[in-house]
Amino acid sequence: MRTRSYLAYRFLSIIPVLLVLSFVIFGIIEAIPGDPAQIMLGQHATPEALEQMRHSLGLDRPWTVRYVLFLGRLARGDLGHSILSGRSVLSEIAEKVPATLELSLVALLLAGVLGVLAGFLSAWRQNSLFDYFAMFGSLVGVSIPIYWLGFMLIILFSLNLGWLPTGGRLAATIEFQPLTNFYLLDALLSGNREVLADAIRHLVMPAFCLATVPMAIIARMTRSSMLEVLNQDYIRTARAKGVRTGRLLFLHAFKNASIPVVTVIGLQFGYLMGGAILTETVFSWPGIGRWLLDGILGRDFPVIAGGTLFVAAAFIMVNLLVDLLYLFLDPRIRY
Amino acid sequence: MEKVAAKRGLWHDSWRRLRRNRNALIGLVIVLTVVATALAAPLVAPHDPLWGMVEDHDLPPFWWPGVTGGVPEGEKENDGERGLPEHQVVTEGLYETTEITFDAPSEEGERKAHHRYLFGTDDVGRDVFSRVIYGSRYSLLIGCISVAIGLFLGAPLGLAAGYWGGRLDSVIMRGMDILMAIPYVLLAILIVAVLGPGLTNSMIAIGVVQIPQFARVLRGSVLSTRGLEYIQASRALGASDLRIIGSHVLRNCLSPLIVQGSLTFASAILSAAALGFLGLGAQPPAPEWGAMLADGRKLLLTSPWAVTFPGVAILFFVLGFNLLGDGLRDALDVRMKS
Repeated sequence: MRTRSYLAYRFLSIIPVLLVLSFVIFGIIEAIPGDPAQIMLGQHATPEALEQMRHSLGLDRPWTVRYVLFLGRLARGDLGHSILSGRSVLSEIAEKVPATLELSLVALLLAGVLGVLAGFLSAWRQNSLFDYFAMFGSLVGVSIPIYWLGFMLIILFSLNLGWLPTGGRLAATIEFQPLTNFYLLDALLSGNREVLADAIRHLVMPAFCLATVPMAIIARMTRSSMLEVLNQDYIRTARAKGVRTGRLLFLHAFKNASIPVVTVIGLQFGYLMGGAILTETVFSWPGIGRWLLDGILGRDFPVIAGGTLFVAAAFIMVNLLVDLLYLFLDPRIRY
Repeated sequence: MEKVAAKRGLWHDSWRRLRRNRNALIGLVIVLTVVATALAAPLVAPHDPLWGMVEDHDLPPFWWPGVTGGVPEGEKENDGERGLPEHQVVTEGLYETTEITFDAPSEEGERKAHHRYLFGTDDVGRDVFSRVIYGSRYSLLIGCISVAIGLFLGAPLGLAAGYWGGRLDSVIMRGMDILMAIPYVLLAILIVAVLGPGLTNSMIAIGVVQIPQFARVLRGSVLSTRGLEYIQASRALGASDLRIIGSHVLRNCLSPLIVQGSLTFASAILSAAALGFLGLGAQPPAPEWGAMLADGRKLLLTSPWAVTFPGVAILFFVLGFNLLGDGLRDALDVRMKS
């Protein structure tokens, strides 16, 4: 019962955060210099046309009215139309999100599997050569500029070895009509092996690039969490009882050590959204990060507002889900 | 007999522990090296960071893999007809500063020119080594200013929230939560979008993004200090809030602040370079490391060395601060909450 009221509280507490966030984003858009009407009509627009455009955009009304209208549109799911492309922001988001999500999920999977594995082995063989190597690697991982890493990968694997393409999601020569815009999924559904192989080839470098930082953080967290658990009394007891090493590590230690690791993996989502902007720029990946950056550079107000709100809302939801995941992972936690 | 050890203070003790930590020492050496380079940039850099010889564009370093005898493969034959764009002609006066590089385009001259450029040259003939050296000044400046902004705005907020608690605490920390609800890089980009691209604005943006981190660290350590007995005693003796904060609370928060500062410095340099890379930070032709990578895609084929070394410099400097920060955390015995 108490858990249920906690859940209700957590879900309801998102509302004021989103409200303030919408206000902040509205304020940011208001503060960005540049006149949308001018951008839409170009340099040679007559003053009358500009005035008319401002009127039709609602720019001639006081900001309080515009904020309320903005909220009203948000509530209806209407994020307006992009100034640059003229298309609905929501449909652009819908089109770009699968590309970013595909990249992020593969990166997170890569980071999770390799990071946990490296941290786990490091803790198991503490102070071994592998441990030093992995921990130094993770330090480099959090210190590296990922867009530069992307360039280095392109120089090595694309330009010198010619193994992988330099960017994009699919070779231009391949004709393919995506269904969900998740290319891996689409290729699997249509059973098109050629597309699947090419999509994977395009995905390898960007995904690795984006995975670097989360992988390093996850490895460090797994290691320290495992070490903490391995030093506890019940592990010593289990060992004295004769529990086999494998069973001890996985069943007794790792299960308890995984809770902070799950938190850290969940928290990487925010990083992935930011990192996607850089990765997508390097690898010409047609995702939401690049789209948002183009919107910012082009002063495309509806895109900036809709995109930022979407990303922030997704970020808040994921953080909430991570919190709720605890309830299942650790029965001791009761709210 | 009195033990001498009793006279050792916190700082002395920490320094001893820091010295024993090999990683931290390496970090300290890296940081000091970069700081020294930044200060002595005009002495270290062999060429002008902003002006180069267009004739010497896209030259590889003499030791670059695949480069034999100082002349890049396949470039020997068409040396004479290497077309130079009209608009890249350098003004008269500047020939004097870089005159030594102005060799006749004979093979002998080419070979000499290669040896002058340790890291090669970029697409307009600027010395990459000199630019990387001068770039350290930008990173150092960006780190200092943005950490200062984060510290001087974030620390008082965290202090107030932790010390007075109650409603003030919830208002401040909810505000911080909202700031943190937008992913770090995205928030910095948004702030730059409002203020306009440029070095100063990117430092402000990164500083603002760091406010919540400093506020949280300080609040945490104030909370753990506030209830201590000697602070209660001090209050019982009639000390004012300001006095308690100034002479007791802050002193206890110094260690976490120093550690946070060092780690934040690292992320500030990374973020500033990222903004420069996206075209939102320092603007070309400034030799800022991130901005040097902004045209990276274009340079990948013609002069990969011009892409390689700015990134190595960023990695080196950031790694130094991360090593130092980790070492300080151990030495000062700070338990950080993630």
